[in-house]
Amino acid sequence: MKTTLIRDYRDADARALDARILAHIGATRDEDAFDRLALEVYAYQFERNAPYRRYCERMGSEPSRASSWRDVPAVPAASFADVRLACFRPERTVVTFVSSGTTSAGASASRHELDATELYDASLLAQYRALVMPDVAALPHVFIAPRFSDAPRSSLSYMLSAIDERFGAPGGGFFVHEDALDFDGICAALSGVEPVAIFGTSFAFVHIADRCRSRRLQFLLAPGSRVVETGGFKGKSREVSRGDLYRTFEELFGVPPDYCISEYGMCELGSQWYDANLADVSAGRKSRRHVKFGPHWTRVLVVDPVTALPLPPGETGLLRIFDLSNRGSVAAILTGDLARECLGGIEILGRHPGAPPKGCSIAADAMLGSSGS
Amino acid sequence: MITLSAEGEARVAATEQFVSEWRDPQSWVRREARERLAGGLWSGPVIERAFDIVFSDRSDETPRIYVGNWFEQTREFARRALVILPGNVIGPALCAGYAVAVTGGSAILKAASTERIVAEIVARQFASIGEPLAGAIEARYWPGGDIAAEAAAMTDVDAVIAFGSDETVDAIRSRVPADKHFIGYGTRYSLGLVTAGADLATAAEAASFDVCLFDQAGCMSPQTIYVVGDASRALRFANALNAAMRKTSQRLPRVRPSHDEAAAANEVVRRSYVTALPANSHGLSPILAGPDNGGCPDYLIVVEPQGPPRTHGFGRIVVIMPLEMGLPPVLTQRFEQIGISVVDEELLFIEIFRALRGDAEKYEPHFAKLGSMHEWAGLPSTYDFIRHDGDRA
Repeated sequence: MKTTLIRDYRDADARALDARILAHIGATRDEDAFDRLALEVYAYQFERNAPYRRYCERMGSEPSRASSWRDVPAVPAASFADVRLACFRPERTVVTFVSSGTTSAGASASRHELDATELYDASLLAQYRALVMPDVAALPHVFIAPRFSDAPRSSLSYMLSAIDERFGAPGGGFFVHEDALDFDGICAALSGVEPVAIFGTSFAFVHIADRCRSRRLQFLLAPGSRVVETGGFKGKSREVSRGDLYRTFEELFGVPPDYCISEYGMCELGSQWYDANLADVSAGRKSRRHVKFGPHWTRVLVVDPVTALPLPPGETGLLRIFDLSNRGSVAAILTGDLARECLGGIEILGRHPGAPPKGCSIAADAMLGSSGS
Repeated sequence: MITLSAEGEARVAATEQFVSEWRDPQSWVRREARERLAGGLWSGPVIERAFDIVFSDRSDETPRIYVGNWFEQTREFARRALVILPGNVIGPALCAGYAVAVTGGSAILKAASTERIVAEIVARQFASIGEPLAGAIEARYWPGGDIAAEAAAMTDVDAVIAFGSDETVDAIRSRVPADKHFIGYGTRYSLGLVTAGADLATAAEAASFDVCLFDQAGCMSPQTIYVVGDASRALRFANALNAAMRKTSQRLPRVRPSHDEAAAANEVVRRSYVTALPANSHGLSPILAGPDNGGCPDYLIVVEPQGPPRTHGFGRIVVIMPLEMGLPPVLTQRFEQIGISVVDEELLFIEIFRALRGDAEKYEPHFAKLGSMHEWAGLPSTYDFIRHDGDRA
C-alpha cells in the first residue's frame, strides 16, 4: 500500500485552493478558467514562498501586474536544489521527493516537498488514464522500478505505486528490489496470456534486453500490451538511441510502436507528459509518435535558452511549464530540457548542453564523449 | 651551489632554456602559441598572463635544485608516462615538460580536443633544445572515443596521468592495464578566503585576477570566496570585487561566450535571484553583473548566505559568502586550494579552518596569498614521473 503513511497537513487556504484546482482537473479545457486559477496560484505562492517571492521581485513581477499565466515568472528547475521552495513550513511536509540529480562536486539534488498528495494523485492518475490507458480500465503492470515503500524519496516510485493501486491488476508487480533487477520475476510476469503494461526507465530496459538476448529469450505479449519508458541515460556509461530502444520493444516483447510510450516528468513537477500515439490510435486518429501531451491543467512555452523569451512555434528552446498541480511549491518552472512545439504537443529533444565541463575536466570528457564505454 | 654530474649540468641548461623560452614573451614558443591560440577559448591578454606566470613559482635556481634532487638521485626510476591533458587550462603541458626535463623521464602528451596546440609546441621545443631533451616528449591527439589509440599509447608507457572529472578519471582508470601505474587528477575546485584584517579593496583587486584567468574554468580559480565577518562585510567585499572586475576585465578581457555558455550563465543569474541574500537588508546589491557579453553578463558576483561552497566553474561567476564563527562548518568535501587574502595571526587561522573544515577529512589546505595562487598547482608534479615503492609498474 502506497498511501497509508501519507498524511495531509494542508491549512484551510491550501485545501480551498486545491479544491478549485481539483474541480478544474475534473472539468474540460477552459482557457479563462485556467488563467484565473493560475493567477490565484501565483498570488498564493508569492505570498507564502519567500525565496520565490524574492525571485519574482528581482524579475520585476508581482501578482497585481500579472494578467495571464504567461506573466508568471518561471523559476529554474535547478533552483529546487538550491533552496527550499515550499509554501508551507517544514513540519507540514508529508513527503519529499529527491531527484536522482547530478553528482558534480558542489551540486546537490532537487527536493520537492508536498503538504498533501491529493492533488498530486489526481493529476498523475487522470493523465495516465488519458494517454496510457485510454482503452482499458486496468491491466497487470510490470514495473521495472522499486515500490514506493522501498524508495520513499523517489517521485517515480510514488507515481508507479499510485498507478498500480488505480490501474493495476493481478499478475503484475514491482521488479527492482534493493537496486537489483528481479529478472526471473519479470520473465514470469511476461509469460501470461493477458495483455500487460510494462513501465520502466530507459536504462532498465537496456539491461533487460541484454539479459534476454544472452538467454535467447523473447516474449510475444498479448495484443493490447503496452510499454512505457521514462528517463534518459544521464550518468550512465552506455546510451541507446530511442529508435533502437523501440525496435527492442517490438523484437523482445512483440509490442508495436503505437503501443510504446515515452513519459516525461521530473521530481519538481506534479504532472507528466506522455506520447500521444496510443491515445490517437484508440480514438481512431493518425498516430503522433514522439509528440508529448500534458494535461489541460498545465501549459508550456518554448523559450530562448539565452533570453528566456518565447520562441516562434517550431523553434527549439528550453521548455517552460506552468503546472497547477504544483500548488504547494512553484507552478511556473523553467526546465533545462530542450523541446519544440510539434503537432499540437511538444517534442522533447534532450538536455540543454549548458555550461562547459569544469574543473579541468574538458579533455577526458571530450575523449569519452562518443566512446560508448 | 649544488654540484652536479656532467649529465646533470646539461639537463639544467636544457631545463633553463625550456623555462626561459616560456617566460620570454618574444620567444618563438610564445609567439607561435600566441598566434595559434588566438580566437580560441581565451583572449590574447589572458593567454599572455597565463604564460607569464606559469613558472612564476620557480626561481632561477629551481632547475638546478630539481635536477639535483630528482635526476641525480632517482634517474633509474624515471618514468615514461602518458599524460591525458585537460583542455581548459594550458599549464599541465608545460608542467609535464618541466617534470620530464628534471627527472630524465619521458612522456606522451595526449592533447584535448579543445586545446591541441601547446603540447605539440612543447614537443617541438624539446627537439629544438636538443640533448638531453630531444625526443623525450611526444605529442599525440586522437578524437573522442578512439579507445584503440588510447590503448596503443598505454602499451608504450609505465604510467598514465589523467586530468578530468571524477567520473572520467575513474573510467580511464578502469582501462589502464594492471601493470601500469595510474595517477588521476579528478574534479578540483578552489576557494578564496578574505580574513578579518584584510583590506577589502586590496583583496578584491587580487581576487579579480584569479577570477579572470581562464574565466573561472581552471581548477585553481576561486569559485566561492568566504569573507570573515557578517553579511554586510561580504556585501562590501562583493562591491569592491565588482569595481576591481570592471578594471581587470579591461586588462584580461573575456572572449565572447558561446550560445550554450551564455544560456548557462543566464541560468545561473536566474538561480541567483533565488539564492542571493535579500536585497533590502544592507542597502548593497547582492547580485552584481558585468556588462553584457554575448547575451550574458561578462561576470557575475552573487552574495549568498553562509553555507557550503558553490562551484559553477565557468563564466567568471563568483559566489561570496560571509564566514561567521560559531555557525556550522561549511566544507564537507575536498577542495584544491584556498587562496587567502592576508596572513593574519596563527590563532585566527586555526579558528577559520575549524569553521570551514567541519568533517572534510580529506581536505588539505594549501596556503597562498590570494592573487598569487599557483594557477595550476604545478600539475602534473615532478613526483608523478618517478617510480615509487608500491607502484604497479
